[in-house]
Amino acid sequence: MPPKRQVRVGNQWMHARDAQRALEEAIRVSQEEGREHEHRQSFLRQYVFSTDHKWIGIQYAVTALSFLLLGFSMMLLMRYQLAWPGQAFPSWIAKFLGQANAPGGIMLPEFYNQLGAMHGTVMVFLAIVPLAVGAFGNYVVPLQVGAPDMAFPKLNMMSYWLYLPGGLLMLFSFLLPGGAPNSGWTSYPPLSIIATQGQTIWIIGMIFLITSSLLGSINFIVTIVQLRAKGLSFMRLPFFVWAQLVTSFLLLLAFPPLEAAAILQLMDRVAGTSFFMPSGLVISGTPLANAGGGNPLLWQHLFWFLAHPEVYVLILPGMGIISEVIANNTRKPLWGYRSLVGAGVFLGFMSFVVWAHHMFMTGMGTVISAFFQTTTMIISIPSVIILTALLISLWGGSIRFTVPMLFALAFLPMFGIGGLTGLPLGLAAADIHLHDTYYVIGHFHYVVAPGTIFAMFAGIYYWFPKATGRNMNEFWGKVHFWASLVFINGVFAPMFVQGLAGVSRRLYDGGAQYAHAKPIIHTNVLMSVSAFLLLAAQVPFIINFFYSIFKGKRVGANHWDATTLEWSATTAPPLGHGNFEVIPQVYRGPYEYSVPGYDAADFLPQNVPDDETSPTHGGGMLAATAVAQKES
Amino acid sequence: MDDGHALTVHGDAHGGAHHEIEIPYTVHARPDTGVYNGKLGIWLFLASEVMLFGALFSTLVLLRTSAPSWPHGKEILNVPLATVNTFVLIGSSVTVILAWAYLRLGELKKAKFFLLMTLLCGFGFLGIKAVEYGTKFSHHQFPSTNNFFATYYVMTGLHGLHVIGGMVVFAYLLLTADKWYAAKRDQFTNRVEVTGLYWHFVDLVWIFLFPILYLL
Amino acid sequence: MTEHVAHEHPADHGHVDDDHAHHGHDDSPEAIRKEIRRYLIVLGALAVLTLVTVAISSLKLPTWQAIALGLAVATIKGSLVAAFFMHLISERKLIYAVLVFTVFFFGMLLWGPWHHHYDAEREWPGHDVTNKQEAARPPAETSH
Repeated sequence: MPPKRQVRVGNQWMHARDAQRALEEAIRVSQEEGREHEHRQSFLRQYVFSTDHKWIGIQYAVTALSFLLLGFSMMLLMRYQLAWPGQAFPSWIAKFLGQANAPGGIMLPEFYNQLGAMHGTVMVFLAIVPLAVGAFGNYVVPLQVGAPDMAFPKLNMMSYWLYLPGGLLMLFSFLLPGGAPNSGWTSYPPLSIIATQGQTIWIIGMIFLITSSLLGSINFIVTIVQLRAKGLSFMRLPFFVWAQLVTSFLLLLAFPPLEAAAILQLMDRVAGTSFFMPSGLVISGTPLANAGGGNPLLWQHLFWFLAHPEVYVLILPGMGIISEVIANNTRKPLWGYRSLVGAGVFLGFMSFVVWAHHMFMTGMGTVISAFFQTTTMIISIPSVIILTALLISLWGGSIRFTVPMLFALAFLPMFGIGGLTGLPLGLAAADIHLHDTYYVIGHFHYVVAPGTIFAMFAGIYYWFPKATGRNMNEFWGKVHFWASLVFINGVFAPMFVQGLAGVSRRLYDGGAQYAHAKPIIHTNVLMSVSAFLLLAAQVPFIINFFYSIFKGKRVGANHWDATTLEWSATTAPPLGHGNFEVIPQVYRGPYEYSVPGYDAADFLPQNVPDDETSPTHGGGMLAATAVAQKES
Repeated sequence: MDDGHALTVHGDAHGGAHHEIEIPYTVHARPDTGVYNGKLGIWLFLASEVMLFGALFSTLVLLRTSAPSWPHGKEILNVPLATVNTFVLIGSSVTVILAWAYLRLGELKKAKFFLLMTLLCGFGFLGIKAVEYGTKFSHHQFPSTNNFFATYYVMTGLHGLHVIGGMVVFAYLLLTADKWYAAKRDQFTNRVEVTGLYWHFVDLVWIFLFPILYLL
Repeated sequence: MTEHVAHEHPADHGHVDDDHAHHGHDDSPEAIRKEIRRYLIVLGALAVLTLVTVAISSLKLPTWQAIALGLAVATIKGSLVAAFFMHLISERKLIYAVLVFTVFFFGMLLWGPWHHHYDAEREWPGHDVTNKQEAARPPAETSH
């Protein structure tokens, strides 16, 4: 037996800590040599049109977070109007909005509609999905499967460079006469067909984004299926990778119908076709001159065929992140890994057969209504399974209340509320009362905002050390968490009350003109104030984020003592061209924490060979790294 | 650390001139899945294309079945021209697969010939379509005329765009064939196979579009 | 999905020795020439079937029969292209799996909008007043 904590390197024994330092030194030297040759790659190729998935992931993250802040700001403008309808904005905001949108500083209803449509579009298509899939997926998935990069690095670069122009184009529409798209993020005809120019920009922007998404989803699926490291079977994949795999299938198969529908809407708008325009439409006393014979419901079908799977695209990566964080911070394997995987796959499949529950109020016959109600009830089951498995995973855990874990813990009840409030909406009878009310807005925001966005925050705090080699400040992270948790509930909880009272959504004055809104109209003020305080709560996060990139506390390669490949087989950043100095091989599942009989640490990384106590190169070094880091 | 050989270091972080990362299974199939990356990638792409055209077929089904009246394609559209186009496209499917077969046989000249034939068939298809569209426009039959024409133009138009896309790739493959064949023969053969799969799909869509739009 | 196979396949360095994994076909010259012959036979079949399609349409069949027959012939032609030109007949389970789900979702997409209209028409006959290529009139009173 070798002396305790000693490993054999070459023909000598050395202390594990020394071995680790030596390893990192050797890698640093070879990376320097590599960098001397790497500078031949131009700045444009390396940082702008990069094909490195890690850098592309960072590009996506920065872009998506910027859009997130933008979409948030749009909502803040709306909430000011909702709390104090008809009241002028402070002069500096009024000047920024301009006379066309807010004459005398008072928001026009037309502008409110633009903000509404753009808030939804920006948040769903430009912020959350690019962050969840483009940023986290791109950065982490190749690392977690042990691949040198994505299967198609150039395609990856193209994905980003379709996303950014598409997004900027959409934002540019605010400057057009008639302003930004204003027919809701759902763009229902006939309104969207006769709407202002901005709607055409929405369509073209969507075509850019859908193409970007398509290329990305192909890349993710091929990477996960084809580039898994030796020994990494499907049932040894981190749940995060499974989540991204299912998400990519959803994006692959659900987006094209929306692309087709977008083309049809474009034709209706610019070529005078009548795909969605029924006969005999009269607008402001003037009959429309088009041929007619179209069907507005056709758009709704094609739109929701995408948009329902889209909501699972919004939540699945988040569930994946939460799973990683929970396993890591309970120091035990996830409970029910197989159930999680099965539920995730089933969820993905079911998501394609529920879409018309968004259309219960369109004059559906009883047969089709019953069909979609049934499938919608069924789809709640896998969600419950996933939530339950994650909840049970906490039982008996040695919980570390790190900042990522706080967000992960909060995710569970928040997503619970979001999911449960969806049930009445999925029942056609209850939906008669609740459809298009604030109840709906409360429901989906609970799932996406304290749901997915909290998962995104968890992911940022969790993987920040991997991407930068430094940790974000814990104290301000906790401030960010608690303040966000309180105020985000302040924004969205009253919406259920408003919705049950019958307050419709998309009302410019927040329901002020309706008698039935009177008893609860004051909640608008509560929600708006909470929203502004929620903005304030993000300030420490933004400062913490940027400050820590440069001045954060330096940490080791596996700061959280995690088991998955991105932590145990890679060195501290900056990760080189290609990801692994030693091509990893996988020997066990993804969550081997607190393994009975293994005493050197409370975690056993996936890539440490089974005979890791004996002096072999790879295993010995890496086990040594694990041990040494615990001491650091 | 004196014994530099003690560490087994692979990977691409060092070395001579800057080189692209080598992605496994780009050329040869992964044993357990049995496919190489591009093959899986193109089938996934084709799956998405099935959904894209599926939405348009769904549009046609809904609009046509719910319309009080709908013209018969053969009374309005040019069936003979479209029949010729069907032969042209089927022929081009054969030429592209022959190109791939001859690449595997190592006969580059024949392969390039058949790639060229494929490209020419594509031009032929587009030429005939241009005649079709042109004739209709001159008779004031536009997409805005009614939903029969709207669906006809959008479905054949989107299909036509896909033909153009395929032709662009074939032109690129043809122009770079010599260089690629000499340097990375297997990867080039794969690229032809993968583009061929796309092209067959384009043919397949037309095989359905032709009777549905023109004959029924 | 299958567990990872025990034998190691080297990362791609341009090896030409494991061609059986390449396409799942035999890559010997004789086999390829046999394939070429097969492609030409399929070409012939497709040409004939195209003529059959056109011939069928000249028979004055009732609409539903014409559609069914036309689609049937198109499906046969499409199957030939898919099976032999696209090699689906000898493809991997992985590809089949992707396509099976795709075809199912394609079916849902085709069914949904149509059935919505059909079901509503069954429940409230004549409900779709605007789609009648006439001038607009006040919506009929519906009782739901």
